[in-house]
Amino acid sequence: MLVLVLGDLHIPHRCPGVPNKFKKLLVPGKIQHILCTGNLCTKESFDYLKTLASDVHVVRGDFEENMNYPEQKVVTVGQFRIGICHGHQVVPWGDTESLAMVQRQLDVDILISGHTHKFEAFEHESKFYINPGSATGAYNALDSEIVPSFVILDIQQSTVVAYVYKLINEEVKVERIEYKKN
Amino acid sequence: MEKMMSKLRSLSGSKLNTLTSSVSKATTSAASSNTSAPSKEDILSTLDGFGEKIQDPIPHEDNNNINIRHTSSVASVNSSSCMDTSASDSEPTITSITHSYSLEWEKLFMKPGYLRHLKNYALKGNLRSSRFRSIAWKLFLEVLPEESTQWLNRTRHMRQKYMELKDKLIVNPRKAVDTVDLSFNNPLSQEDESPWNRFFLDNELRLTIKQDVIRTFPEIQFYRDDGVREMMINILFCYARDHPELSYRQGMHELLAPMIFVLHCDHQAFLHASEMESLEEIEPSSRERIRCVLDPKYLEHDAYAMFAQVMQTVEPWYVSKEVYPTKADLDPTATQPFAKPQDLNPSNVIVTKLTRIQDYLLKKADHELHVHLERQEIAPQIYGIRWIRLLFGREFPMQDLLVLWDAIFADSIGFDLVDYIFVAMLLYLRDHLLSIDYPSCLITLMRYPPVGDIHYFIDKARYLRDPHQFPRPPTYTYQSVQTAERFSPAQPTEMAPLKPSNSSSGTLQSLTRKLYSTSRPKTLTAPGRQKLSKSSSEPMNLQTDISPVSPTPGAVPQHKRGSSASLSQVEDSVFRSVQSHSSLGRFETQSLQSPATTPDNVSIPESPTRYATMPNRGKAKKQVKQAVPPSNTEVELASVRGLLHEKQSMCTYCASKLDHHIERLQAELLHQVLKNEDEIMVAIAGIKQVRDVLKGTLRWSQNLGNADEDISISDDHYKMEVASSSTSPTTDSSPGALDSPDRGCQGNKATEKRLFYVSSEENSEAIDSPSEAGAVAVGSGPINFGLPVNRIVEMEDLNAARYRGKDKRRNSPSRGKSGPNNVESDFSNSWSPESGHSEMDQSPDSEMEESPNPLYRIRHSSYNL
Repeated sequence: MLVLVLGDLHIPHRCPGVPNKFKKLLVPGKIQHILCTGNLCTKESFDYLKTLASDVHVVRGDFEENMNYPEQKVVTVGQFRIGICHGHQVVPWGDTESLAMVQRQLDVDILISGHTHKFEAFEHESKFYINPGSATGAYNALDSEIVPSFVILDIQQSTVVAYVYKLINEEVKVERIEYKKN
Repeated sequence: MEKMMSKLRSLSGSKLNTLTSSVSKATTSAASSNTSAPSKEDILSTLDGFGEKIQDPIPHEDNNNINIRHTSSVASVNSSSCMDTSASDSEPTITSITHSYSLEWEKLFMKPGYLRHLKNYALKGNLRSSRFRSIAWKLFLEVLPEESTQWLNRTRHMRQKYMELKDKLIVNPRKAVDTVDLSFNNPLSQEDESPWNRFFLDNELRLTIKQDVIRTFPEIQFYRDDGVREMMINILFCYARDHPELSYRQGMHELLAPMIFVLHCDHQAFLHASEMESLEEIEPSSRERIRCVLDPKYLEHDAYAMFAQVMQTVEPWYVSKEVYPTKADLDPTATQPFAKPQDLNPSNVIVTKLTRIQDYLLKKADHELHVHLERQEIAPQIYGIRWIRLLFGREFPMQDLLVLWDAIFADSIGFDLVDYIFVAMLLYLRDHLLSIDYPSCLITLMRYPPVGDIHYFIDKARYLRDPHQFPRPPTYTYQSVQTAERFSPAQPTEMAPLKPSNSSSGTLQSLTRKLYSTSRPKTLTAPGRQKLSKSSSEPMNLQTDISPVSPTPGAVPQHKRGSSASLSQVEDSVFRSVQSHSSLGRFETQSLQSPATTPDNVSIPESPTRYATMPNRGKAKKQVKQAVPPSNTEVELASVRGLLHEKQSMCTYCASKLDHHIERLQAELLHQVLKNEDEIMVAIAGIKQVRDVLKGTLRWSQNLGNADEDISISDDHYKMEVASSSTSPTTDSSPGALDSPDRGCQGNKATEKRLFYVSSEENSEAIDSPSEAGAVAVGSGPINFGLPVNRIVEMEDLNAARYRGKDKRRNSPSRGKSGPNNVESDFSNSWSPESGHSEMDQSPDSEMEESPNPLYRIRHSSYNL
């Protein structure tokens, strides 16, 4: 089962849109779920995600137009409990220990957070942490050189394979990270 | 019988509930006499007096095996929801079968040069009940070589190949992790080499296939099994992937489905045989071969091999760009004036094929029909693509289809027979098509009417292809069937409530009573005559949708037509049918030949009578018209009539057959001085009586059934009568002259007859009420003539005697009496002896076993001796 993880689009405030190379890859029919870490900003971005898959889960970012999204959300896919949180609430931003607190709070196997606009995926205390970065490459508060990236999770029984798509020098690079639940 | 029942159930489903219950009654009653079932073939062959005599003893057991085989397979497949009766009924026969699995094997595959025999066997439709049909098909399709020693190797090789193919084609992108570059091997990759991309494309293909597969033969339980579906999807998927240029096309699943079914049946039969340890009978090397070839584990592999082989031939028929050229394709300057649209698009093999069939084959076979279709602008693509692509899979019920495929496969690997079967199917509908307009034509062609005798199409197709080498099959166009089809779409609402109302016979009985009371006063014999007159030659075949006992939709409209058709119309159609398949010249030659023909000449008995009966037919129709009471319950009436017609047609057929043979018997007897002539005459008289009952000239009564002694009295009487009027042996068989029913019986005979020619109200009702009609019409079940054994033996002799010589005089009496009597016999004419025979082969066992037909009993008991 394929799950698309992305966020921090900041359209139209910081970026005109998702890069074309990404758009070409993202076609309907392959992805079952979309988990979005927030900062879609406009309804149009949400609608775009809706065209890729019918099941879209969004949490609220700090620049959200739609204030009805929840702060945190837990989605169960297969055997995995996946927690989503934008991450601007978690200080220091992107800090492993702080994220681990959220993970314990939500009691999830995988915690997805954003806000830093930098891709990260690591295992900590046998839990999996993913930060998909910004799909549009929008600048963040501290950095303007952002590599656009998003993540596809291929979830089978007790294994998750994360495929990381990065747009480096107008080329899409793919990385593969495997996580096994025990 | 179980076979029939399961088929009945699976094919016609719940609408035949009432029927099946009646049949099952018959089943149980006849279950004890399971050994009798097999001999029905022989009976019929003797009855008909032509066709091949079955010499080897195997058929006897064969038929039992059919039962078992089908029950076993059916039981394990759950393909029939009602297994209750069939399962229990099969029990007693099992012991008698244990040997025959090996016997059948030896018969089919152990002779030198067996393949040729096997093909002939298949072309004659004899594989219908074989338990090695899948092997036969494999041989025909060249999946297995003729040299049986190579079977093992070839089978293993073929299975290995499929497994490799499947491994290769069914990719799991998650497994190929390290082998492929990550830039390809990621879920979103759209590169062709990407396993993920392949995976998604495959999933799409599988979905498409699955959509069709779950709709395959929805009426058959077997195909609802998830395992079977999965297997079909796998096979189709592998084929589609292995043949990317064609990929998957709709219709392939319907080609595959019967093969899986056949394989499965054979596997089940094999498992059953091994359970019964009847395999021990087979010599070890063959046993090993069977075990390997019929290994249920490899159902999928074998099915793929067969399917791929079939597709190799059929493939071009599936390749198509555009069936109809779009406007843009048509360059008006390039086209010939008056060219047909299909001619302008030559790129399609299937269209070319269909055009050739219609413009060449059909034109040659039947110019009038060709012109008609042309004029109606019914392009063969409209209906024919489906016919051909599915190898007629949608046009016939499964069991018939398998027989048809037997023939198609056996005939040649190129399936040449298909074209001719196509034409034969059109010719079958000819009269009907000629008489209707464009929409009705289309409807008829799109929904091919149920057909009684599938063998007709095979015979006809072979004849059409090679008229010199194969005998012309007798004409076989059924007005009744056709009209049924014509009317059924028009009145579906009427049909639905009819079926239940048939079972609740209370009102219907009163209705029938009414019907008959109104009609009776006109002439004393009117009811009987009417029955005859309206009778059709509807096939008495339970395996098809039309069954004599069932209130099929066909029955109802048939009457409607009868009542509404004008005299001219009726006659018209009769003439037309005469002209269509046999020119006048042919008739003449036939009637000239007939005195000298041997008993196995196929079409003599029918041809003369056809002409003789025509005028009466119209008259009879008129009577029918008058008999219709102006009631608003027409629907129910119609259904009752429909039922009646079926019974009548059956009776008429039996009667005319009996008639014919009795005459031959008598004529032959006159030339011979036999020791026990009296006894023979008595027996003949008994048979005549049955015939009269069947014909309706002798009113059947309960007393008749109960009193055997009465019959012996009558036998005496008949004997005297026969002896006295030996010059006209058929006088008493033709009391059917409209004005004087008792013409042939004078004096004391008349008084005697009163015993049997009972004409009380209740008796006629008993005959006519639909609830009992089944039993009665089928041959007045309760009547038991109880022929003593010695008589039986003599009758055997008589039967044999019939073959010995030819009677010269047979023809004249038959023609003489056929006039008034067989009012409707032009219907029965279209019953070819052969087709009749083959139909009767599979005709409801209940009918046969209940039948008081002395000939039947005779054969039957001779087997028991």
